Amino acid sequence: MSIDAIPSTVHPRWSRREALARMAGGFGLLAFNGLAHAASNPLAPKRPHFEPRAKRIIYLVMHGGMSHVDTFDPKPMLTKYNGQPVPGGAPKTERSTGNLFASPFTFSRRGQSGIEVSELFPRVGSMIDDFCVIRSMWTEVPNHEPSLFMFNTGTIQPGRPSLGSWLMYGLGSESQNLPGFVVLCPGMPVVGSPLWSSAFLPAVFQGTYLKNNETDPFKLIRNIRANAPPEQQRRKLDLLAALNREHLAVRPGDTQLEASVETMETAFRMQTEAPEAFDIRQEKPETLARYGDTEIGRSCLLARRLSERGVRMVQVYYGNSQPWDNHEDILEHRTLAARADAAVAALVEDLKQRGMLRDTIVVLGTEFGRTPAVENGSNTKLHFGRDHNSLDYSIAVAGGGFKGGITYGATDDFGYRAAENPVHPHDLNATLLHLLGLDHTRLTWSYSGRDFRLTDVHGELIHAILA
Amino acid sequence: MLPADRRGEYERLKATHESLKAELPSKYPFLHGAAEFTPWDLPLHKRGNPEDLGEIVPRGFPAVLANGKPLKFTEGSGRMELARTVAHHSLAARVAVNRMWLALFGEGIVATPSNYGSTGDRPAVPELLEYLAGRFAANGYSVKAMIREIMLSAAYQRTSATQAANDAIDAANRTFWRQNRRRLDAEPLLDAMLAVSGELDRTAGGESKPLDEAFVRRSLYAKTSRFQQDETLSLFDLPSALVTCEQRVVTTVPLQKLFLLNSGMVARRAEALGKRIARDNPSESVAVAYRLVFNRAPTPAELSLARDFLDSAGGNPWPQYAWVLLSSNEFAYVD
Repeated sequence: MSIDAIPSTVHPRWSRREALARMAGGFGLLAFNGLAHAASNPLAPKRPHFEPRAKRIIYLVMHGGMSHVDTFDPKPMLTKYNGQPVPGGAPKTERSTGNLFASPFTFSRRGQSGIEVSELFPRVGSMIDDFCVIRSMWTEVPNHEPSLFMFNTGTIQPGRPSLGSWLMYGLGSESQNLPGFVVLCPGMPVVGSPLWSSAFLPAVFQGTYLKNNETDPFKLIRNIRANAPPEQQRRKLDLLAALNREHLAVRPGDTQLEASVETMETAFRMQTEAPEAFDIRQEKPETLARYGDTEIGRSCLLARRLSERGVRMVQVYYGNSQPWDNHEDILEHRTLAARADAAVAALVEDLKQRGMLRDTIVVLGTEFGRTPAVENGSNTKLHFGRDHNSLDYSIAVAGGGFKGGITYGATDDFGYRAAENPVHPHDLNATLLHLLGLDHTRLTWSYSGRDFRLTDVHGELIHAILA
Repeated sequence: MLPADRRGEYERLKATHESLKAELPSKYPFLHGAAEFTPWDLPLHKRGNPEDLGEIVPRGFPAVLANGKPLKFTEGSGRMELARTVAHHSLAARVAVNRMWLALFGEGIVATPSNYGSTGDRPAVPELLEYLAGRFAANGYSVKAMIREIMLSAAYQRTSATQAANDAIDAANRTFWRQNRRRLDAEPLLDAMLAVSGELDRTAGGESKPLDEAFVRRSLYAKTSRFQQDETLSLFDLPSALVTCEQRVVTTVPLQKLFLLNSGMVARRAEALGKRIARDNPSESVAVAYRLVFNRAPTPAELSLARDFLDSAGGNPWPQYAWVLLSSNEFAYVD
């Protein structure tokens, strides 16, 4: 059987014929998966290009721009030359910056690997042997919107499908009772829904955004609360099924109609199953305490529950708007990081304890870093913050086939630019797809006369960080 | 700081400004426009790089689309010439009629409606495409006349029933020997529910409003935006507003059924339809319901299923029965 399961020209109608001929590699696979209606169910699990290392991603976004020189990238030279002008002048960023500005936070060696992590992430530091710290991330534009678009969709403008949508298209969903791509934010991040859009891919592949300020699952998920007693609903559904059977009897073999009947039954079951999945109140109080009863803590706990139930990708935005955008006072990173530290550490602990870290990727990411020089323009009064810096940032990844306890890449002396083994979001996305069993050059969709992919015409696999 | 005598004047002007602003209607119609200025020819941007310039490229029409003969534009910017050249190009006529055909049949004669190039599909019936393009041009590019002609054709009026003999030759129906069975798109689905429940407000024009439970106009007038796409329409495959869409994808997923099961919107439709069909004689009610919802009479089997349901349903059975009809495949799929 061909494993070229992903065609470049999927016909938009998902007819049985098209699906059999082009999508799933023929009857054999359909029978193998036992999915009688795979033809009309675009979310049915699909075979990847090759054996995957990971099955799912939990993508945590510290949006606003997490400062690398204060978290995961120690710069002794920055401390030494604190207050001095940037040799050769500072690169142009969004706003005006002044002299070099040492991190007010101290770094120390952590774990067996001895990777240096700042005091902002003590618990993540204690688990650093599970993480690969990439210190040489870079992107094109020192503005939030284009950089959020870049790592999510592979371009700086709206209109391309997001990573999660590509995963839905390439792999389908493991859970037929839950959405396969969930986006959590207790508010709305800057840019909003275009970040999890399916763009020209089918609408069913877009992220399901849940504004999780609420913990009551009935308030979180639309139309999940049954509006009639179960017996009454059942009676209605029985009549509906009988009428649909009569209708289908004279239209034999129409898989669309069959699928419609089946999805109604799935929806009926979801009313009881989905709320349970989304209900973090069912966790022990001690568990919530480990994650922290904070926005990011509750989001990470919910992300774990959803991942346990087969959700392919959960993307968590830290908070409303862009919380990490500390132009004015970098000490605000302390509060932000304290909450993130507990949440991320508890999440990785739990995944590990459940044996899920093996095939679950956790990304602790951001859209760009911050300048090693102090921001000094008239936009801020207190000159103790940092401007946007797209020339370098740090992220940390764990699980799902990433090597733990290593760093990759390095910045220049002060942490302004990615100097050694620079990694672009295209490279990271190519690597994430690879771990999920997808070749980023073959995961394509024909639109507007050409084949599009997440990594455009770029992206290099980063072999050195694969376990 | 202003001197005292000037301050009074400043405050007065500010108050005038505020009151004039308050008098403005909250929203006023506007149109984006463009004006011509002195045009000039631009140099080639090598590989799209504006800093790596090549030779000046005069304004014109691509030679590849003009029988190999470069066509220069000379009137002003050339926009009007470009528009005219495109509108009267034979390729444009083929593309246009194929899009109309696609809208009426669910599939185009050319299966890649925005790609007629070497990576696109060939027309399934080239003669049909040429015929339609010719008729379109002959009728002065009238879309209305073209749609009328297609809809009056035997091809359009066929049912979606299959036939073994034809199926053996062309199972994919690329030659349109039958009509395609199709699920109603998001907008007509919601509109049809309003229409049969008797709630539809058919007023034309006006401001768009959020598609909430109180919304009873055609969904054409529902508010949607690129930032926040309407969730209900998206649920039934409304494509992203960020990009152009040549053809919608149709999906069948449980969340759509949850919308039918539990949304206030559908509950209201069922309530209204239930009221509309309720009669003293249940058989008469069922007949009325079938005429409204399916445009036909119920079969004896359907009638008996309905009678059993109505007898056993607790509470007011009519909204419950109406809900079943509105959620049925026959309502959502057009033969």
